Amino acid sequence: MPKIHYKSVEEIELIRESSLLVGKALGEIAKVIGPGIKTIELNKLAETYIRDNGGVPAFLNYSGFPYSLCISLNDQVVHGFPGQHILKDGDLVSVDCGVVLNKYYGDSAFTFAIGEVSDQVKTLMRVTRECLDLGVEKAVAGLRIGDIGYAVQEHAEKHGFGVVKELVGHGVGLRLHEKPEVPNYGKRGSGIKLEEGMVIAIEPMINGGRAGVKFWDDDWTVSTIDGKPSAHYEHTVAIKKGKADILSTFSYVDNVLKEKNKN
Amino acid sequence: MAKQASIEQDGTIKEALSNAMFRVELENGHDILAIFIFIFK
Repeated sequence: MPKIHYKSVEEIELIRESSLLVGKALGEIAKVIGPGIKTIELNKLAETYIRDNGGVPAFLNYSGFPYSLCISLNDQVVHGFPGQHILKDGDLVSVDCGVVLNKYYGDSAFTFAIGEVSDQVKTLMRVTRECLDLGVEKAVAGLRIGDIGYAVQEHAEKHGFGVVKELVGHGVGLRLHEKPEVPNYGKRGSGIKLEEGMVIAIEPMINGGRAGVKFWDDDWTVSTIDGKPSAHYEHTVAIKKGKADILSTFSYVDNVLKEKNKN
Repeated sequence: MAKQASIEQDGTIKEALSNAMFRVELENGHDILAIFIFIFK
């Protein structure tokens, strides 16, 4: 699309429905994710769950992407392929999921720790999720795209982490990737103005070490140049006056993880 | 799903070729082969 598509109130509700299904699918992943499971099984689970609920996996065949989920392990940043890897204690796994439901798209991602991970990795996860929250706080009418990126970048870098710049968040709704681009870095007050009707996916990709990334020969997988781990969280957000309207949800994942940690 | 950041650069048309192709010199000095794309709104 050459220009930004502003969504009506009704359209935003439809995107909310799609995003809710993504949140529930991530919740299903959270139930089974752990040592011993193959990443391709997680893919199958999500694909089946989405279809059973009337949706279509948005990533499958998107520009040729061969799977329904992106599963990115450890030093992989995004767009990792599900496969024969058996998850093991210490792995850091980010799961990115998209759904098309009633022609509208939802997009969200969460990073999971398998078993025990180092304190550094726990910090990376916490800070990256906070980066998302801080970016979302700025996703209000009247502010600018650069305000979101600045908030993400400032928080990540003050913890000594690297902000990935080669990949960005994006408008979403009628298609998976729409205008505008939503970088995870920026200057306050710069970039296009955020207006009601815009729906964007904010998705900080934060590296435990340096910001540099490399692209693999499979045309998709991205990983850190220094080999250190990377975390990724994503929400689909509608721009409104005063406070952002988060259309996707981590509540299903959080509830599952809370239950798991009790035992 | 993250999107690859697009790069916008200014360039000067150095030569018009056939089939809506152009040789363009970018502001960084590199010569590229560019194709003209018209997007219908």
